[in-house]
Amino acid sequence: MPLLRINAIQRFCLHDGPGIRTVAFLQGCPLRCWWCHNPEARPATSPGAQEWDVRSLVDHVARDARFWKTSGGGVTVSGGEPLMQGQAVAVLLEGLGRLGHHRCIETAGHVPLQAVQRVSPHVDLWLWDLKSVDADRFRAGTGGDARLPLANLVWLLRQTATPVRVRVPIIAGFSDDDGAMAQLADTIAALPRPVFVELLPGHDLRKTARPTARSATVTTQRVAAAVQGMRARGLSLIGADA
Amino acid sequence: MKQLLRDIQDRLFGAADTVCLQRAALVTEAWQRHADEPAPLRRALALRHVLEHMTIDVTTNPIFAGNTSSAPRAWMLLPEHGLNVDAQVAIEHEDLRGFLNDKVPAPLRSYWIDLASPGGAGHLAVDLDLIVNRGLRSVLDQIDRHADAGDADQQTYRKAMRMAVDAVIAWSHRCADVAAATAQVCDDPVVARCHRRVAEACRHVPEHPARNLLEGLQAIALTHVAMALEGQRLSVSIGLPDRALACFAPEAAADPDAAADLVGAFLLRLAANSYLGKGSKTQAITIGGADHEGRDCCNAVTIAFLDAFDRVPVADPHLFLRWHDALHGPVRQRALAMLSRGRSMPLLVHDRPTVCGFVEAGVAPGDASDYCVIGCNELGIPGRLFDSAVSLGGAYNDLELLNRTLLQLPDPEAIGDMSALLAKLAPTYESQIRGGLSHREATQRQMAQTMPTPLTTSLMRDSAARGRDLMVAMPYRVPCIYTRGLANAANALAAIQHLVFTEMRVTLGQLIAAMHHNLDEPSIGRLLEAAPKWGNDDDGADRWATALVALRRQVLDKLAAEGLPRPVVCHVVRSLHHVDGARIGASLDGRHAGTPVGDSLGGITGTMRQGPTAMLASVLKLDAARDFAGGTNLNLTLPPGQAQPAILEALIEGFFGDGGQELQISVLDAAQLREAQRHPERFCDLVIRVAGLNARFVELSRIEQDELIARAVAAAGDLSTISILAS
Repeated sequence: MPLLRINAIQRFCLHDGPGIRTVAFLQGCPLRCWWCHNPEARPATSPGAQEWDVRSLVDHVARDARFWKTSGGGVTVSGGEPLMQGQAVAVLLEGLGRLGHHRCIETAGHVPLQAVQRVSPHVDLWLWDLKSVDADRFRAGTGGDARLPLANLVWLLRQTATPVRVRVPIIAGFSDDDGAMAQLADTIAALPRPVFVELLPGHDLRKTARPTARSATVTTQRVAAAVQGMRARGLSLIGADA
Repeated sequence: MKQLLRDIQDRLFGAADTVCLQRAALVTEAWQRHADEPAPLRRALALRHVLEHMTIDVTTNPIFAGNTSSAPRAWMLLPEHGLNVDAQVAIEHEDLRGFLNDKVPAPLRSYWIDLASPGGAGHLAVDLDLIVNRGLRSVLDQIDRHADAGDADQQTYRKAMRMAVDAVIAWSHRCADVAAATAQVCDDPVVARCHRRVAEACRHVPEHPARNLLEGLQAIALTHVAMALEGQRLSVSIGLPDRALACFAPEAAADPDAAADLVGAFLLRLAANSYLGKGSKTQAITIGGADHEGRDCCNAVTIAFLDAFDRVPVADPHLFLRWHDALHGPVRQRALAMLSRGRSMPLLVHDRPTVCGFVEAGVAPGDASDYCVIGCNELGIPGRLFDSAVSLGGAYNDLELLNRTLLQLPDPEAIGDMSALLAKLAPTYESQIRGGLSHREATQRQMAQTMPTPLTTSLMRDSAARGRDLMVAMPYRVPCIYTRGLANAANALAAIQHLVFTEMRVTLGQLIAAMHHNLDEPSIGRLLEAAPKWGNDDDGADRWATALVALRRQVLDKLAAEGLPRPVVCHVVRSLHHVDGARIGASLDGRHAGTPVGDSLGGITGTMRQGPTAMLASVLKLDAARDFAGGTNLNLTLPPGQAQPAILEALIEGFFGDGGQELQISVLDAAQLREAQRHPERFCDLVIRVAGLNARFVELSRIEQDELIARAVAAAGDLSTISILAS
């Protein structure tokens, strides 16, 4: 059985897919978003991380199956970047699927296409974070290449019929200006098939000891502008901020 | 009507705690005058004297008659059962500590000082169908039919029952006269019409069957108040009013708004009843549920009760909803909406395990499906089964028994494993339970002999045929044991297992030495804090809760084999977690001496780190139907952002679907509660659920307010996700 490096497992999560969910936050992320609330999950290994064999993990997370059943919930694999451990994640999702459990992946998609392809047969819902499609902005904010997640998303939408929610973090000073929001909205509107869009207004967690003094918190006016921009392009918004 | 309701509410909630000496003086007079009469007759004569001479107040609440005191929420003293403020009330309302010291005349106090005895069971519900649909005249007919049956004591008891019932009927007519006279001089046409309706109703009920919803509610209110005046020291619960009033469902359905207002006025009537002023907490109302064939029993009256509780911010009475698979959709949706908005009601009881528990205790399925809540969380069957409050002597605290065992170990280091420790614990449990059951029997006999309650007895099913007090003769007699402290004891055992036998960080002797020193060694405190904790769905901790329940079950099996009655067990706290905690020394769950034990069957506040689903999963490892047939209190606290109706429904269905029994959901916002502490005048309507009681938050003592804030903070912390923006 393959092993998964897990940063944390959280029960009763209500914001990472439908219903009551158990979220496995995987260790390791290729991006370095300055607003990240969970920087300890970035390195591929960490003293706080635990290794789980997939079978044990399936048994462990399924402890909340009674509440998944009554709420339409399930498991969400998040991170870090879950697709960095695509092989083991695929086995995990396949095992959960055999038991009839609903499976979400929350990803920024900044991985080789093969990782997406490996897990995609075993995903019931993708939560795809689209932070920016502007190359310079993306690199400055995350250290990554904006083309990679977008290309992977386009592949996913073209080659599979699995539902996808595009989640757009609106981060002060990164993606909350009119230009950035318009660019994102245009890009989403031009995707190969319609997707639901979920806006995630940036905020600072007090408990986070972020090394930078920058604040991710956006104003309600900027969130309203983002909502308006998305709606103006006929996009379907979900969530409380819609 | 709505303005009138608001006026009644303002008068009620604006009233300060005072004392009404009328009942105490009248009972004392009658008691002195009839000293030679047998106890049942003496008691009935005292009730008659009270009902003949008490001030009748139809103006404070012009919609329903029936008052226990001369002013709303004025304390109705029961000197025959003592004149001290209950320890729990003093905790819940610190301003009431010593409240009676300077308010009871010395002659009254000195007369009763040696005569006061236990009694006034409360924590029961009578046969509402009899009161609403057959009327007290039918009770008199039954008494007359059996008048000469049985021995002299039974005949005397029936005579007392007859006298008490007659007195209630005469009192209702007196209420009618006062209401009619008040209507004559009332300037307000709306209020005058209310008085005339009360007059008309009270001439008819409770003597005869009710003819409409108002009369049905009036019949319930009058008999309920009369039982309190008779001397039910703790509160009587209402039972299942939506079933008794089901024949008036068409009336409620025709005008749901008016029906909800009417029930709201009824709730305010009950809220004004007062044995302990704002400290009165245990009048339960139960609605919903299924009959013995699984048919949903909800009707338009059920909805009227829910809507009334939503409109009128009463804390006592408190509302329980019986949940089951086929629960009427609108009832379900209303209940979820109320809970989601933080109303803290209805409290929920699940039919399947509860009915199973009663059937296993020997109750016929048809009767078991009529169960209701009869206090904080205790369960009974209206008119047929109750046995809770009187068993207080049979209560035990798991943590206290564990501490006692540990501190008496002659050689702790000789305990080689957890099995050896549990073997030492078993005799402690047996001794406690055996003594408790024996004490309970003796107390019940004493109460029947010295302070019988013939009126309340007459409202129990087939009581005329039995001709004996409810304390010793009911259709079902199933003793009940109270337990508390299970969460603390499980945590302490989990710590011992983890630290002594698994990781071998310390010896049992070292831990016991630390108990003697109130855990003042920081390193020990840290070890105990980090040990596994009940309520996190961690089998390493949860197995000790199930082990303690299994231990108790073994003791009960042994006693049953000896021919002793097998009790049901309830886990009910109210504020006894403070009372217990004050006398229990430091314990190996990391608790310091004198601090409260757990307030719920769930985990200890601040130690549930896996969120609510894990806590519920832990509790589901207990078999509620088998091991807590007497009822449980289980707090589930959520912050507002996590309490959408659909989420609540999923939690309820998930928990109940796998055998969960009772659930009290509180949606608490710590910031709002702190604001209410600072500005109580702005939060008069904020009613919250504490451990086993509802209360207006602003009336609670600081210690209970802070406890609720801690729960709210812990619940919000438990739910904090790592981040939605983590990727």
